[in-house]
Amino acid sequence: MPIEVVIFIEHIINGLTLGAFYALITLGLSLIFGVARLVNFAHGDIFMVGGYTLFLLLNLSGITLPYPLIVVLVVVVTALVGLLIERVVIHPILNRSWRVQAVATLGISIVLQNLALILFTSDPKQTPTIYSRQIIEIMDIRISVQRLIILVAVIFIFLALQWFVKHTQTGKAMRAVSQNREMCQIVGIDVPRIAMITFAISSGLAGLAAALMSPLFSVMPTMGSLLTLKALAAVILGGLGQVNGAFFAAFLLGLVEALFSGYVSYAYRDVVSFGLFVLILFVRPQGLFGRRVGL
Amino acid sequence: MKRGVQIVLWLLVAGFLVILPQLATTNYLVNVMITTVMWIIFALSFDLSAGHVGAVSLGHPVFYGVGAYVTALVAPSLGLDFIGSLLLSAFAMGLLALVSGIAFFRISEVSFAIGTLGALIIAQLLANNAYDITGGPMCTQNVPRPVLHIPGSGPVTVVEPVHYYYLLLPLLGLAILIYWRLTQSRIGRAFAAVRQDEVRASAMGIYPKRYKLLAFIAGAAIIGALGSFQAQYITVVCPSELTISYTLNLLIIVFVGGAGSMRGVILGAVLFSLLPRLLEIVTDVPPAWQQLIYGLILLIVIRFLPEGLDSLIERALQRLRGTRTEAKPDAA
Amino acid sequence: MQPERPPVLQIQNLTKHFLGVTALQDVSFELYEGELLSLIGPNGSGKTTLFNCVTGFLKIDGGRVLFKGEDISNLRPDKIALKGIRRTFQDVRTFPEMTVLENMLAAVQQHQEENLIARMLGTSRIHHLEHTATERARELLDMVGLDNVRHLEARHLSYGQRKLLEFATVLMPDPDVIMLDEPAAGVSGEMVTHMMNHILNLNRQGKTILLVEHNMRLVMDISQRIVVLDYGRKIADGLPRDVRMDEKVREAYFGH
Repeated sequence: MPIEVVIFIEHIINGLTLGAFYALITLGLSLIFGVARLVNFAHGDIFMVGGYTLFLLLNLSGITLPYPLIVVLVVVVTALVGLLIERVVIHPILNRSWRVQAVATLGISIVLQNLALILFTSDPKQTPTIYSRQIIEIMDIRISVQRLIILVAVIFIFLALQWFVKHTQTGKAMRAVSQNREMCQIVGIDVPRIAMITFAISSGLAGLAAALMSPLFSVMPTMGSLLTLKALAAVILGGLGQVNGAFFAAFLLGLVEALFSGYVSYAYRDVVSFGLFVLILFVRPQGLFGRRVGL
Repeated sequence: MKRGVQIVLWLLVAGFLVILPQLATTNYLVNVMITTVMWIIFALSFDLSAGHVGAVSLGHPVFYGVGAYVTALVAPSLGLDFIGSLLLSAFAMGLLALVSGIAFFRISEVSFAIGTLGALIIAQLLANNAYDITGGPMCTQNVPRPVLHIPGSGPVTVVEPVHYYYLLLPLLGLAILIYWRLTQSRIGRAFAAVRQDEVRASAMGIYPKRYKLLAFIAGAAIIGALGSFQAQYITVVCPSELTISYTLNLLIIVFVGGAGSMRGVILGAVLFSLLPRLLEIVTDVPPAWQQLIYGLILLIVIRFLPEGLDSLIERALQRLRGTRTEAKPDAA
Repeated sequence: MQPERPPVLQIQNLTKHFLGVTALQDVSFELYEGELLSLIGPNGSGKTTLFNCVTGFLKIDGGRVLFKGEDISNLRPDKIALKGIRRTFQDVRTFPEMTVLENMLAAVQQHQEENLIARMLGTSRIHHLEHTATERARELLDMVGLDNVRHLEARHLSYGQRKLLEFATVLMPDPDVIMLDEPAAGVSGEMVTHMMNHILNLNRQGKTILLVEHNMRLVMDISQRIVVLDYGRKIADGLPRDVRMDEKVREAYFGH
């Protein structure tokens, strides 16, 4: 195969992995927004907590846990952290304006990041797994196994979430709450409980993203900041609260970013993703997949 | 009578601020005062839109940083002096706020907050990467210092922090005046109407966008001027003037102090600037611990004092006035 | 319905679609000066949509709205309000953090011709306007029985009190047309009578009122004319007793 084609395909695969990663982060953020109308600026920091959890589990003295078990443990830990945050910080202010709630999540973000800084310093921590170095080659195209795992996992999670929302009691309630909160309160759905469960699920998804993706990067206290913003951009582009829209917007963002940094400029890749975001906001205020709502 | 008391109180505060640097024995203390005053101005300009019309512009530092760059990159070539540069930056940022505001206020409140934050990230990335213009991480160096023309003697270049402090005070006065006039007049009521219920405000003949723009532009102009001051004070402008941590600090100041209240915002800014300095005297607190404590304070205040620390002052004042209000019960 | 009176509000062939669903189809009727006209229909018949179209909160897809002969279709809501059409909302809207009195004053915020500069400077003319507005606000509050709570923030009021407050605020600028969206919905029986009496008195003083209500019985006695909507179409327009007997109306309401 000509080298240009190989490089192009590799860029596409990189873009898809990046997109899958963003999508995983975005899914959780979008779920919380849909159900609780909460803009969670601490979402990326929960991802960061997942990263450090992974780091700790990989470096347990004496025992080597199998990677799948580690992934599960990271998800459980982050879900519990999310649950704790929801109980202590978010739950008491569930009836306040979205502004106050958003500022509170920024407060959580400040606390988590500085806690990580104090506990682990700002040095990047490496979290290699057996898969992150493994590379498979198909017709000259080289892909790391870790990337493939992410792609497969995200697609699986997306389908699982669809099933969950359509076929389980809790899932149906989540969908109902995100469509009409007032009505749900009237019919007697326990909205705060649904919000709590959603927060835990969403945090668990961030943990999953950390367990799968950190082996390709490195773990740092600030690793979540820009990520939260990119994911929020995807949530808005997808049409606030529309989970599927946000999911595809995240993939789009990943592809654009990978192709731009591959062919044009690595330094300006974030300028392009945020520039694109702001530009689309101006042209389509309701987002790419959103509908304009009336009163 | 009541108005008279108010005026006397303001004059006392102004007098105190003028005398203050004379009590400072070191340049360090004067610098602390300058930082404090700058945070007050910064927070007031932010609160105009965040606290009053409810448009939380998380990208507010854009106007500060770009205002500083305007003074560093454009003003010298136009041959502008201190005040000219200040006005140029204020005007440019007001204009930027007008143009971006027209676009940004078409989107929902949530999108507005995140969209402006996106703009801040873009601005910082551009400043960092456009070496040819901004010098990138090497910063724009050698911004001219203010030169004063005092009748009778030749031009004097301002170097001493004390003199910078006195140049800054009028800006504080102006910021307070603009904030006061905008929020305490009938415009303030329109602001509140727009913040509390945009739809109802429209039904009453109030055009929400006009008031959002007004608050946004006023805040941008004030902070643009402050950015210009900063450029001429430090004489260096770096991409770090466009950092997101300014946004976080603003949120801490405004929401701990009390959003939408001048007294609360000023209190928040003073505490925010002075607390770490006071702590320094007792013990050495690493920045991470400092931030951690701020974050916790923010969370605690949001949880237990919804209107910020200002509500404590309000309650205390009401208790003081208590006897008087009770003596004058509502006749009607 | 006296023909010599000129129509204040003319709604001509009003059409509105939501994502392909027709919410209003060719609805036309006139509101005459001094008239109390009720717009009724089952839930989802398009009453509130019509309100939102007339007051500029929703874009009109077809037809037009004339106010005193002037085309006001698709004008901005605040402009329409300033022309002299004021409305209430079905889901009571007050400014929660303002006091009752401030809520009233906010209603005439833009009413007087004044510019931003004058307001920033707080000229004496403004003080005068503010003074007259306060007097009028207190008169109206007294009328609806809220003057004693005028310093209370609106969020502390009961639901019924907030309905009364919203009602009083639309009267503040002395508008030419008052549009009330289900003023009696969700309030107790006693309050309903109270509210209906206020509306009737207002009309007796010569005010032009367009009332939306889905409870037909409530408006039968006070309305001079009734327009009935069903599935976005006008199915009847006439005197209350004729409308009550109308076959199509009975079908829409009772399904026979």
